[in-house]
Amino acid sequence: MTVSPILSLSDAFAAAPLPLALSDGGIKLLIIGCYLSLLLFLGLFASRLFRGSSSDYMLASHSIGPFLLLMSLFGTTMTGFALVGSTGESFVAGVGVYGLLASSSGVIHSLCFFVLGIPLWRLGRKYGYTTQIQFFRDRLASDKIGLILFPILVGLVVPYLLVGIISGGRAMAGFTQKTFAEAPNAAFYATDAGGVAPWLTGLVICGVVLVYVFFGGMRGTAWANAFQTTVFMILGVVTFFVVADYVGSVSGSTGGWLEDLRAASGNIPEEKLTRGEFTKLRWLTYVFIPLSVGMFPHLFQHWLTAKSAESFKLPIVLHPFFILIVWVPCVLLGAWAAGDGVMPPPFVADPGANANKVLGALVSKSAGPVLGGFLAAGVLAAIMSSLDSQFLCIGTMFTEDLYVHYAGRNADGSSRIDDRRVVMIARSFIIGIVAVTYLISLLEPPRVFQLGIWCFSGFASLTPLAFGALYWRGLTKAGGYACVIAAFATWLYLFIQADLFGAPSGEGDDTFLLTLPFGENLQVMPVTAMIAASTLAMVVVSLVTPKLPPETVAKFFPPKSA
Amino acid sequence: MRYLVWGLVALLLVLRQDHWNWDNTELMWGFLPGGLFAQACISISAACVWWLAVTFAWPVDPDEAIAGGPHPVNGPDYAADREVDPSEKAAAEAAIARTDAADRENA
Repeated sequence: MTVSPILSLSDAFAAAPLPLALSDGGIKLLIIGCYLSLLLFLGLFASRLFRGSSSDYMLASHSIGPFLLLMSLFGTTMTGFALVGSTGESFVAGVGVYGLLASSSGVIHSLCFFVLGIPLWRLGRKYGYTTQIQFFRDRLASDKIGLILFPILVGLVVPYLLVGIISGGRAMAGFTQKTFAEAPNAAFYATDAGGVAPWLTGLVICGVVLVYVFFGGMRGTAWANAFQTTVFMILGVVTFFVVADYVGSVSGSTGGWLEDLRAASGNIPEEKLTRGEFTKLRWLTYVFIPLSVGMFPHLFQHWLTAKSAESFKLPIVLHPFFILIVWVPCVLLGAWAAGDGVMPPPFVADPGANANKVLGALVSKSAGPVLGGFLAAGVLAAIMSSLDSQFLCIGTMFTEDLYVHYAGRNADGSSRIDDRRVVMIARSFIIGIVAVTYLISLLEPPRVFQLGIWCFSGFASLTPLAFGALYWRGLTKAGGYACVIAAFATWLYLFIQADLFGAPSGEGDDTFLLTLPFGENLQVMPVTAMIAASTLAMVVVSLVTPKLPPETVAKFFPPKSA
Repeated sequence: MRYLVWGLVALLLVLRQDHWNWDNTELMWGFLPGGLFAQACISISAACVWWLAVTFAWPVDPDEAIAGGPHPVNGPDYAADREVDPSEKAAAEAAIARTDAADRENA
């Protein structure tokens, strides 16, 4: 039983080290500890380059080159789901999950970087934006648009943060099973199975991320992202070959690695090689989900860090290839795990409930504590590389869009707040947000992973506004409001229909699908209706409402020379 | 070239649907499921298409000078909030009219 953190931490740690000496769990924790220390060092080192301005803290003074931009964009968009979730989903539904989730992301993410990221970077540099809301306020010549966008954007990011913290806790509990089985006071800091308690992992994750975001700002975040992305990509590939050796031997291979691969794949059940788990319409409409990157506020902030437009070229080209490097091995591992005799009976009996434990279990069976420790560090890397950007982004939004916007200007528009004070305020907000998110995560909200998909759908439904703002001169203020309101209203209606919290719990494939009115078997992802509604509302309302002032239009669509 | 690139992006999204691999149980080289191989090819093709895009359809004029803008703490000049010089407004309207006319001609 997990005990809430009401006992003394010092008692726990005083008792813990001795039983860990030279144990497998101790080795894993040592590796994870070294990794987290390296991360802290990197963040603190980045802070030595801090120039003291808010632009440097929030946007790294627009100094991020192609390689760092590639790694930070990729690390931010890939959560722990890329390693743990992809393996688990493939275990449940077969290799089709790559096409469902990954290959479309390769096309759509780069598309968003290309058609949204570059123009937004140009406008951000030209007009000094730091947040999405500053851009939309300016583009729609409306101050109030910020008031409706702010709660929606923050409300969609917070569950995304919770997914990271909670999944990190669960993954660590699995990776460190039996570590504290006989340690005194273990009920305080360990699970029933002797793994690290999720509340402790969450505390450590939040603490480490807070330190390097607090001191390093965007530069520390970008460096940490690059380091973490490198770690989880390399570890994913190494794990693949180690597990292949184990699964190959279970499947009857006695030869080299190619024979291991063939034996392991030959053992995959036929239904896991096909896409029988999916409907064709669900497959088609899932392509809208990756459009969410077009409205992720943390990605907007990363785009603005680019040193030049040229910095975007490498991320645009290599992003799909990086997705392939991470996802293909994990998807294959999941499908191999579904083979006869690979996983223990409880996994086979209830694959949905055990999906997120598959990768950890495979590594435990096929490798020693050293690789297990490194893989646990890799999973934490994938999780933290998203969390850091999100924490920094929400802190920036509270600072710029609320505090500075409403309290930081004199009546004549001049600044009332010293720039160093802006940095201090941003840091204070970041501490507050990390603390609040961590406390919410202790409540372990139910069905948080399914909630994550709903967040992605919400962001995707707002993406038409970004396209309209950049490419349609006819977009009006009312059209912008209509788009946001329609997206939110449709999201809320469908979310209530899905009855996410009323349905029986379980982590299997229980995705809510929207049945189209003209056919019982025509079911689409809810995001389809949300995007259709927001786009339609934006276009129709813009066509019948007064145009924006010509000088506003000219600001964003510079007239061609005569 | 620009149209070709966008055509290829659209083609990738169509190919990603690959219904013809729905029930494919073949193992490429004895270990890679055919359906997964096809989707991995989409990812590799996407990298190639985006290379074409950044090489031949790059949207940014390299000569365009990007100057840092004012920090919003000083207040981005919301068009709705500020007094607009009538001559500036007239110039903007004229320029938009010229652009509209040019667009109509091009169409």
